[in-house]
Amino acid sequence: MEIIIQQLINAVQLGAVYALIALGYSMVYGIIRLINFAHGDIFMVGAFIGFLLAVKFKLPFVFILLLTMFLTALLGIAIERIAYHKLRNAHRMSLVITALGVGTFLENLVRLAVGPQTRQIPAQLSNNILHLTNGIVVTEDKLLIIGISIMLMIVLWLFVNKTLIGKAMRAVADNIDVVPLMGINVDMIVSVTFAIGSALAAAGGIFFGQSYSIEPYMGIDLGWKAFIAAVVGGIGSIEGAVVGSFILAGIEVFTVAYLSSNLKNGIAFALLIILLVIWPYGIMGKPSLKKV
Amino acid sequence: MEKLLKIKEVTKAFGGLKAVSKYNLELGKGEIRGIIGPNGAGKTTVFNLITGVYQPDSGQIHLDGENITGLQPDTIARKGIARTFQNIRLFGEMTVWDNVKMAFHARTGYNFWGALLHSASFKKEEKRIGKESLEFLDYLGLAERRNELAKNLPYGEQRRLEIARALATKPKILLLDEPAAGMNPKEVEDLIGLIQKIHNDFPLSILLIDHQMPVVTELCHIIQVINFGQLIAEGTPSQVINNPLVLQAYLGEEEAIA
Repeated sequence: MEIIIQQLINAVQLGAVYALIALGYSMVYGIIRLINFAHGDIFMVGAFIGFLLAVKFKLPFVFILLLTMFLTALLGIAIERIAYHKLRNAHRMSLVITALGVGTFLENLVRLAVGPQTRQIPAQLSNNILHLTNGIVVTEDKLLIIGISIMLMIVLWLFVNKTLIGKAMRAVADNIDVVPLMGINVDMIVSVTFAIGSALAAAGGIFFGQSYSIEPYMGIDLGWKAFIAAVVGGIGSIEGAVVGSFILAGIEVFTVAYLSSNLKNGIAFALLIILLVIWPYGIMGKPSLKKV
Repeated sequence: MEKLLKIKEVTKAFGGLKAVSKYNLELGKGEIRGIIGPNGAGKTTVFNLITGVYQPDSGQIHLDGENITGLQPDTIARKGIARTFQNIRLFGEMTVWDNVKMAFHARTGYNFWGALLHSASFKKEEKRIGKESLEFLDYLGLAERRNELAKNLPYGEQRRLEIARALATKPKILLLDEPAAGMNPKEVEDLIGLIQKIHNDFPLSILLIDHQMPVVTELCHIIQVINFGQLIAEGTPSQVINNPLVLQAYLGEEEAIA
């Protein structure tokens, strides 16, 4: 029982990182139907910005987190403006190829700047061990990471569902052609979406870097996992991205704990294929109506 | 008096085809004008040019003395031009109420941090928008439907919701693209009454496209007839109906008699 709960905590932590990345995939897809394959690399850049702020400037954790989110948000806006903006009405395939190109560019840019070796973001959070109940231990940083991640997701949910800008984002997702007639600047809404998605991925990057080492190609693997989590949850759906992420993390963590770490990806993806056979549009996704 | 909307010598071609050619239109304050013409005559293109969806190849469009040619659709919407579509375009996955709330967006500004932090002024603003948008729904008899998804409304109510949303942007000019499309005679009669009521209650001018003669003849002070992107006649309903060119180009024998 203790082991199960212990593993559950690990799964929640990993799931939170997946979710922070998956949300960006899902939101961007929701509004402009783009699978932004550069998103995993935006997550990686976020981790490296956090690394630089921690190592070179030795800022306190809160500032590292906020400044990294801010700078990565700007990166997200810039990528959309420079690489995707002109292609908004182009064939989706052109956009996807461009996104892959942007991702490769970011990987190589970071590798050129800092080298290919793996690094560790210096621990920013106390890793004091807390004894929750008999036999269940958790480090403070883990709890904090889980807590901040869940808080970010709640803020995002409130933002999208309760505010006018959030409503405008949903309106763009719903019917992008009509939005300008409401006097709303669609470009502005798209920029806000990229900013939020990138900022969340950056937070994920920093949290990931607290527990694992970082390197310029880390975004590929994590990006794919988060993308798949978003699809399983129902791409375009915020709730779906979160649900999909925790399911994927849960499968991975428990496979490693009870079967074998070699089987981790195999079993995780096999189960995800089964889930998609049952819910072709994802667990919380809706079949999208093709506009005539 | 300066006309509210002035379209001067506007031309728009798609490939080699001139959808609209040296087209002129003037709309005065408080006027209701109609544009009629066969399918493919360029009527909807005119609306798309006015609202900035298309940029004219040549010519100018002025709103209230200001040149709005080439401006982006959201800018033109904020300057006071609203429209509805022949094939109704709502935010189907959003509630009826949220559809109308969207129309307030332009005048609310984008206070990102206020929204994120749920500041007091932000909450007050949201409350005001909620209240005012409900008034528009009430005006069009949709208040009870406010929490339903727009896509679940019956056709006639979707039309009224689209009009409510357009009115909520507080336009100087309302463009109605075939508002009577797909309606039976009784519904058409109600729609005519509704448009007249809107015209009396709001300080706006209306430009409307329709195929159904009662709609244009009962509502419009002046009617334009266009064919192949060119103006072929303009005048009061009775003048236009009796114009032989119009009969030939558009109305056909039976409709002219009816």
